[in-house]
Amino acid sequence: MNVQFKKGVFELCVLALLNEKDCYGYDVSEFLSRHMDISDGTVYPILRRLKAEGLVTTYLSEESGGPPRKYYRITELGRREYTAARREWLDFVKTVRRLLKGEDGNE
Amino acid sequence: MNKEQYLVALKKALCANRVEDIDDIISEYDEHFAHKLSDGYPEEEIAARLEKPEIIARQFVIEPGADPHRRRGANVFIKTGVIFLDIILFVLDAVLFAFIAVFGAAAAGLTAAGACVAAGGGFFPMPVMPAAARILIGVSALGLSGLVAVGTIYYALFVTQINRAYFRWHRGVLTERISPPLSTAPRLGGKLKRRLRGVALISLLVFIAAIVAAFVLMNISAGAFEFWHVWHWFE
Repeated sequence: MNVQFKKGVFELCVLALLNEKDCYGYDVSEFLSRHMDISDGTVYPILRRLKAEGLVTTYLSEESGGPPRKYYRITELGRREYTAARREWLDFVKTVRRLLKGEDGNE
Repeated sequence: MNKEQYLVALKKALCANRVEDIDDIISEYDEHFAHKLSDGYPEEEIAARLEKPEIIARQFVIEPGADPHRRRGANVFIKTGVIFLDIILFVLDAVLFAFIAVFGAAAAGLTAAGACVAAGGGFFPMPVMPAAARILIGVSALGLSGLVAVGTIYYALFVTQINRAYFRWHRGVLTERISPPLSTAPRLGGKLKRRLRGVALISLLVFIAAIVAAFVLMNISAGAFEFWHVWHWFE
């Protein structure tokens, strides 16, 4: 599959996770690599890009007995972007599915 | 490739790609290793599952205009506004930096004064009191100077950090180069932070202990609570 295309989908999935709850980087990496074919290290560049675009922000949280962890939180802009992109994606998938089904029917 | 080799290679590749905030990125991968290691994976396997450092480093390069509809383009009005903002903030910034020197001078002055008084006066006309009390007051001034010195260091780091954050934001508005915004709170390494905290705590304890001891000592040697009357300090 096209790499650029996949990248957009990964971003959408990361936003979906962060829309549920704040996570630290490793959480996100585990979540994605459990469900999709993606190398563990690819998540961190995605998170950084989302941060540069203002869709997520980070904060440090001191855990008991350990160095402070960097948490990612979705911003208001991120939420809006996520809602729009989600709808766009679901419509797109619906159309693609319909087209593929049509091809099946012709055979 | 083990953890050490992976992180070194990643750092080199990030440098080669002129990516910013390298230490921040490296610490995130370091943490990734730590989590995986505690789950029982060997270092070689973790590194293999991360992807090659060169490929990862390239993914950290954010191409300008890669996603044009998300780009908030700065028009000429915003750019002019930013330049006026610069002029105002430059003045404010000069004051903020000047205060680093003020606090630093206060710390140095307190140190000198404390040392002089403890060593036996000289420049400092001290009121009548036992020599031991004078030494204790000198020591307490030294403790106070330690506190001010730590405060100065924190303040200087803070001023530097807000300048860096502003510069990053400024560049983001005026140019096409995109980077994540910087936090305005300085991030200190664990070692430096612990050391500064240690110095501050010891200084505070020395200051309080010495000043209380001096007071008690003067009470006892004057034979009264209001020793300043006994020694005619204000007459």
